[in-house]
Amino acid sequence: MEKKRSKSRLYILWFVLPAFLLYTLFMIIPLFTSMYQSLYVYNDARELVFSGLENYIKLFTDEMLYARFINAMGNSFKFFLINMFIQNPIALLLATLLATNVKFGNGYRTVLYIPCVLSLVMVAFIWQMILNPTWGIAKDFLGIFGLAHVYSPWLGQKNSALIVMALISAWQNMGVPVLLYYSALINIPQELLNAAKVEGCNSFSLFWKIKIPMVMPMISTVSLLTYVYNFNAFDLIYAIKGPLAGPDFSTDTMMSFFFRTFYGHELQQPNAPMGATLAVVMLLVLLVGVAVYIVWNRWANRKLN
Amino acid sequence: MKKGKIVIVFMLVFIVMLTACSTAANDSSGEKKESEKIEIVIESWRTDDIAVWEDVVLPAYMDRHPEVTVKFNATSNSEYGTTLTTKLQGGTAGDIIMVEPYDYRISLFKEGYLANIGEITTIDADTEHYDEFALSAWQTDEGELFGLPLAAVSHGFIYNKTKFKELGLEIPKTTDEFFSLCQQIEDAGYVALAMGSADEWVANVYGYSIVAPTFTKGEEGRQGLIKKTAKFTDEGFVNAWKFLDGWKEYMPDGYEGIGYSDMTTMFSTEQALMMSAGSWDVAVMAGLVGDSFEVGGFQTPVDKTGDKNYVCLHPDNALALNASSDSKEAAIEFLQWTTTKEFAKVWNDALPGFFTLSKHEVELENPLASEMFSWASKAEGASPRLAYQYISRGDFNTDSEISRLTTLMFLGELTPEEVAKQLQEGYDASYSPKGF
Repeated sequence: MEKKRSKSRLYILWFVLPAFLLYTLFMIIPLFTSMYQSLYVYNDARELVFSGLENYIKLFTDEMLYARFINAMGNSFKFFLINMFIQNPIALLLATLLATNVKFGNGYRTVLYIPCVLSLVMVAFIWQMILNPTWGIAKDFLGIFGLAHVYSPWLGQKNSALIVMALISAWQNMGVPVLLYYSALINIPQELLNAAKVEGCNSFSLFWKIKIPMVMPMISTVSLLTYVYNFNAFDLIYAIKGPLAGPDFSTDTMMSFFFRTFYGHELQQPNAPMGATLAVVMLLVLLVGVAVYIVWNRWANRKLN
Repeated sequence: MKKGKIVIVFMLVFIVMLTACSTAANDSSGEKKESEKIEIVIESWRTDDIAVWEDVVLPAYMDRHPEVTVKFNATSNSEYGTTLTTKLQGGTAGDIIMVEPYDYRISLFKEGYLANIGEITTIDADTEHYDEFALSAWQTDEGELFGLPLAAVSHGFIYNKTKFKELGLEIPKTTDEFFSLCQQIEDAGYVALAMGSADEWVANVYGYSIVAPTFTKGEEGRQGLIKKTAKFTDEGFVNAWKFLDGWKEYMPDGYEGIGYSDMTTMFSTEQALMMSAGSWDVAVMAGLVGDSFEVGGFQTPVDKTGDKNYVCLHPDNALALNASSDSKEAAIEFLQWTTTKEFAKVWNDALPGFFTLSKHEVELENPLASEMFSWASKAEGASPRLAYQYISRGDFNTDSEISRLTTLMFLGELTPEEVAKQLQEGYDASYSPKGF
């Protein structure tokens, strides 16, 4: 008996191994090498010299660098918050509607998921075309409702560019949380819902009092994934705005700031150690966020039990 | 939700890489046995010119040298720096590497990835074959040459010649004439200037670089900044921004959302009749416009009648030698070919708008290209883009700050004086001349 059990446990190791190897190779080792790299600086002859924490000190004391850093950090948070509070509620609502056996439910599900499988470069291109002031359809479309005056070239304006991009990103990735919520919602036992109805619940209170608490674990999972993914937002911004993340760095996130620093941009020379420094700081910020999540999750679970 | 995707993608990439590596290894060994051909690879960012290199320039060389195959490998310009650095570090970069002028790639040379061209005696990289102006663009502060000058571009305006004739419009000589011309075009129902601020670099390359030399007396202004005897807040520099600020009125509606590709499309579809442009646009426009209308060019108008005209003639690209190339000898022979008159002829015919930097005089067949080339000799003086040499070093990247602040001016957030002031403060704090 005992022997059999240990054998079956060995099996588990085999299942874990590929993922473990890949993660070690592509995530954990680079993590430590970038920490190591951040302790060096370039001298005038472009040689790497050990310098201790000089990069970190410079990042937090150099006026211009610090301003860019704070700006990028703020933009990353904005990008995440917009995704979090626009994408998630809408996704939950759509999933709830889908789970009520609506007609053509399968069709809607497919349509909602299509943007997720589109190439990001295509998404960026399509939206740039739609929002283009000269031949984009956004202006004409708003005109149908008599709202043409609402239109302005949002992607090129300082105070709207980031918001629009976050919304595009939310639109593109909407399908994933919809599917996750949908799967959680259809797993709610039908008896429970029936019983609640018998007790006099209308659909509104059914949603608030039964469904939401039942999918709460999924909501927290999706929130965590939104945090990790959107805090690293880069691809869409790069595809639309390039490495300078303009206008006036208003769409510059931590990731595009990192990219520009690490690889350089035009006359700005690549500075790998400073890039690594930023990556480490970014890692710490993400870790703090995840730690907050874990503590909150434990607390919520304890309360539930 | 994305993590799962990423892992799957990684695994796929890993598998593809493994298979690709093994087949690639087989292929190369098999090929070598078949023929003893030497292969040279040129790395470049000129994706627009792939066809020209492959169909015209390289065959011209390979016809003479049947033992060599030359390949042209282009990556789009926004990714070129990243790709190049990665390839050089990984040892997979090509033998010949196209490099941007001045401070762009000095770091690669210092890190030992690029060879010292000046030390290779079989290449005629000397003042007999090139102007000092051309050579200095690829020299380190110590005078080591790391790139063999290839081509330069000039800056000014292009206009719809056919429509100008139809409407009876004339080329402007001064900024006042320029603005009244813009008004005439707008009155005729067209957009005057195909220009927008969605791409930040446009504000610099298609804005400040086009107008600055005329307002700041070309080299005098540029050298002044390098020696720190001039300031961005000086009258000439500010006037250049004031001139640009006046463009806003004649740019298309919603220009905040218009990028470079929209600009060229607006011009080529005759929605806009003028565009600030560089000579590299000659080929771009030839492709977009075709025969549908005639494109002409004019120099940047001067501030007041009687002012002298200066033009921005910018050394744009050079060829460097990969220091760890496997076929150095063949690569050097190719580089030497680019110094010859034969090459100059082939190149200037094939790539109108990119003027060879070697001293050979070649007639330009394309009328627009030859018009743009003539500006440099007609003008009082020619100078490269303002902030490419020295002054963009350090943490305050003056060149990209010009893009950023000029864009803010187009967006109406800064006045010309404020742009000048902010730029002067940043440049002044981070740049100090080293005995120039």
